Amino acid sequence: MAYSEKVIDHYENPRNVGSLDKDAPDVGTGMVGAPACGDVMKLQIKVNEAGIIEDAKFKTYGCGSAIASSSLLTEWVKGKTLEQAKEIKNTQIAEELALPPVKIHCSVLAEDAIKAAIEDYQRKHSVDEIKQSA
Amino acid sequence: MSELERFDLSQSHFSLFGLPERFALDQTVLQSRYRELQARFHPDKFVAADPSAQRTAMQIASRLNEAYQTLRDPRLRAEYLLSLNNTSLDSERETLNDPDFLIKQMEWREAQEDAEHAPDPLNALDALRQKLLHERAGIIDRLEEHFEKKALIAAKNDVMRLSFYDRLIDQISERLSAIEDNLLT
Repeated sequence: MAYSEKVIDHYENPRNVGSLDKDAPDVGTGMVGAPACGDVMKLQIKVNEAGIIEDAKFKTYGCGSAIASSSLLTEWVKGKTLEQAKEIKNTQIAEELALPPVKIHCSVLAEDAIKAAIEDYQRKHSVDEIKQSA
Repeated sequence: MSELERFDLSQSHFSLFGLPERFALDQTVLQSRYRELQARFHPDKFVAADPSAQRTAMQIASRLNEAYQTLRDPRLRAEYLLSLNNTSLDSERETLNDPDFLIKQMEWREAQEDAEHAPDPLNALDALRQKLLHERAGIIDRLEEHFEKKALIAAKNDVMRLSFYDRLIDQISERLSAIEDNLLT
């Protein structure tokens, strides 16, 4: 199967590969897996006090499309608020990368990963607020 | 009515082979029933028959084949059982949300990379495959329990978990045979 140029670009020069400290209070971690292909994706965001995503990192074991989807997504979410990042849809990723139908699940994985990372961050913070008010 | 006409193509994979509709399955019984039916309905036996009988024999043969391939593989058998119980799995859309399990999968992938670069990758990969097969067997045992208890959602989640192991084991097996091929040439 032929990959699009954008997929190849992100695959060969993935942006934002790496890890953030998952225990840090300003970091949210999302882990997801796609049973269809056995791909595993970890996506992390670092959120500043204004609620803006300052940094994003990913680590993906999977095919070129899964790596490209997570690489693109980390680029997109930087500088966005959590609310804006939540709005990103897998269809936008699939369209930008020109993913064929059999690779749509890779973009679904990336969307689920950012949602999971945001939830993780928000979970940490709701706990903090409870602690502060207690 | 001939033997061909009596054959019910619409019955389930299980009833095709006269097996109960459950996850636990005796592979030797499945295999011997498959061979028996395959011999009885083999298209070669109907070369002298009329075209419609030939076509039916062909349909039966491919139906038997499909059913056999599905039932002999634990993951495909589980998926099929789920679909019979209206709990089908859309593996293109559904993702597994189980962080601990996924962290472990990342670690397995890292172990795979390390094994590839070990001084003796053949042994390192083979040792890794043994560990993975052991984990896989554990999931299959659990699946049997889930189905016995009709815990379909739990079964579905374990089918998803199983697909990660199947995938990884397949990849490692491919790598192993590639390395072995290289050693031979």
